[in-house]
Amino acid sequence: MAESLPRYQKAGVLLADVPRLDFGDRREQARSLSSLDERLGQLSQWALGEAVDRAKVEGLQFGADNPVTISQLEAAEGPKLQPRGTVFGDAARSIQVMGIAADVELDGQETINRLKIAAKRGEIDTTGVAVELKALVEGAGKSLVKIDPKASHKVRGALATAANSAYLSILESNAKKVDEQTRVQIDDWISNVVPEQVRSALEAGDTIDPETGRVVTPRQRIVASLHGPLREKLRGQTDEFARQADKRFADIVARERVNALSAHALENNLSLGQIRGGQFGKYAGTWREMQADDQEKVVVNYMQESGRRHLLEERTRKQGEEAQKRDVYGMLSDYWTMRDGPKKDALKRDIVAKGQGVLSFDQLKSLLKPPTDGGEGKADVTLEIQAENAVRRGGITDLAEVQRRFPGLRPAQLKHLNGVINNSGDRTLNDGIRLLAGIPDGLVQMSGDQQRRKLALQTEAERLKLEEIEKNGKAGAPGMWSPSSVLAKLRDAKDRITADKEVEGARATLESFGQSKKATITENTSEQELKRLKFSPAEINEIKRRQRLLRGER
Amino acid sequence: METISGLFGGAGEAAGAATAGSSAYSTASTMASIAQGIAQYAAGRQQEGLYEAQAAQARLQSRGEAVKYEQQANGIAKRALAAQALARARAAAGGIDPFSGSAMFIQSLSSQEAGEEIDLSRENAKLALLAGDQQAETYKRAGRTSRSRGLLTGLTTIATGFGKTSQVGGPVRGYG
Repeated sequence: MAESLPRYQKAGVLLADVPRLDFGDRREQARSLSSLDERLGQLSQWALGEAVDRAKVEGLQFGADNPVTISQLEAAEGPKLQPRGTVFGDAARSIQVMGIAADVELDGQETINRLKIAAKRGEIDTTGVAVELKALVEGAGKSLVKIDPKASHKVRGALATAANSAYLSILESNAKKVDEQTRVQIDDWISNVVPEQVRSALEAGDTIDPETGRVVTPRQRIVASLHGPLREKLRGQTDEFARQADKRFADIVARERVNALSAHALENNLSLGQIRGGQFGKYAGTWREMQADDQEKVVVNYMQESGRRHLLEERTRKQGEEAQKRDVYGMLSDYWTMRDGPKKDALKRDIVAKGQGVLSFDQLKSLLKPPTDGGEGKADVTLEIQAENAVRRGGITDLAEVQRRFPGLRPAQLKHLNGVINNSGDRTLNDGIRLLAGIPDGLVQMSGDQQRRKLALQTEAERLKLEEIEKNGKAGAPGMWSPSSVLAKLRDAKDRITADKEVEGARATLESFGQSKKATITENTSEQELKRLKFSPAEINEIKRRQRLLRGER
Repeated sequence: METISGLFGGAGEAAGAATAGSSAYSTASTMASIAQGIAQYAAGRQQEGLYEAQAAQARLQSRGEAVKYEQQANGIAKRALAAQALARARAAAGGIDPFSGSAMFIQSLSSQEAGEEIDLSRENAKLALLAGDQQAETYKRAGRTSRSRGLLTGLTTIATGFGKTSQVGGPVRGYG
């Protein structure tokens, strides 16, 4: 056969794969929408933020324009408390709650202040205050806790702090008052009780202790019964006050010792040698225990009082003589005007009997002669007696007045009458000094303080009298002075003269009382003013006692 | 919402306030927003251009592929004709009628096989063209979308810039 015929050889062509298309359009659309979503999201966020911010502002404004009070909430009237949960509501409510909390806190503060003032005035005690404050704080917290626990907690905290501070202030004020009252009591005890008990202890002298059989001296008794209790009373007081109290106590003990020994020396008419030798009987031990300065004071007191008593005796004697003379002059006045007869003779005998002790024989003889008109160089005795009667009974204290009413008196008679006037003046001055020193009439046995005050006033009175005599002498009236003028000057200087430790203490006490009420208390402050300053009755009594002391009253 | 309408409604006033009297920084912020918007729009246009180019390229590519497949078909046709010619020549040389009998059968078989492959190649060419057109359309749509997005983004950027700048504010003069 012929070789095989050629055939078409297959090239192996296959159907091509479907090409993968790039769906860029879908991709771009997705990207566009995503971008749009993002943009719109941003816009929405921004707009919401703006809305929230404005809602906050409007909410705050609404809350401020529509405040609510607790009473309105309880009565369900007035503006509504905005609910929580929205921005506007939260903002408005926050402002309204702030207002309510401020009201509650303000009311609470006012109540706390009222309680504080009432407690300081003594209208309510500390226990009552504590109860009231506790109830206030808890009540304030409860009223707010349902509305806003956070605000409630804050208000409760603020009120608790204020209540604590007020309570502390009240306690401090009370403690200060108690301290002041205690100091006043201590001062009073030292001033009033201690002198009496020291005197009693000194009066008792040395005793035997029945338990131990030992001798107990007055000093030991004073230490046990007074100094020990004083230390107890001073516990808790400031060092300065304790020091002053101790000093006052020591001064009072020393003073009472001096007074007791001085009085003993005078009563028993001890001599100076006996005094210096310590021969004081039951007070001998006390004399030995005394400091040299105090012993010297006893000597000085004794000498001053002895001198005063001597003066008093002299004066009394002279007063007796003067009284007798007055009687004689009175009888003479009747004698001269009587007709001769048995009655006149009897009167003459009485005059002689009475006049013998106070007038000389020649004086009596001349007085019993009928009165004459004197003539040149001869004094009119009758006129002199009449003038003397007028000075003694009529209270004439001025020699010029005597000359005016009784013309014709001779210089010697005037000199005599001047002496009578001076004696009367001295008596008036002494009476005035006793009054200024606060010494009652008729009191002979004076206390040491009274003696000291009187001595100081007498010294000053002598100085003023000499000053006045000198002044009047330069003015052409030698020897003239006026008791009333001297007493007036003495009265003016009384405060300066009579300032002693008791008066100083009284002044200090009044100053202390005044400081407690931020006022000035003097010896002239009225009881009405003291009541206005809200002093208690006990305090007013204390103040009045010290005022009397400063005024020189007892 | 009030705030949104206020934002857009007040954009003009804000712009006036921002450009007329507010601080230099507010002005700079507004200008920057405008520039940013324009840039975003330009970016969108650029992206569109890119996609247009890609579309053209896809079309060209598909045309090229189609030509290759046509060429392949032509090659097949040529080889088929050559094989037929050779078969006829040999048949004739062998004293066989080339147009009948088995000689014809063999030629027919060759023609059929060649024809199948030519058809396939031509189908492939059509497919390539179709795919290329589809791809080009896709890219064109993508380009249009990019342009739209650029425009929208730019506008919102400018509007947001105006809105934020209007919040800066300034003094209100006058009485009452």
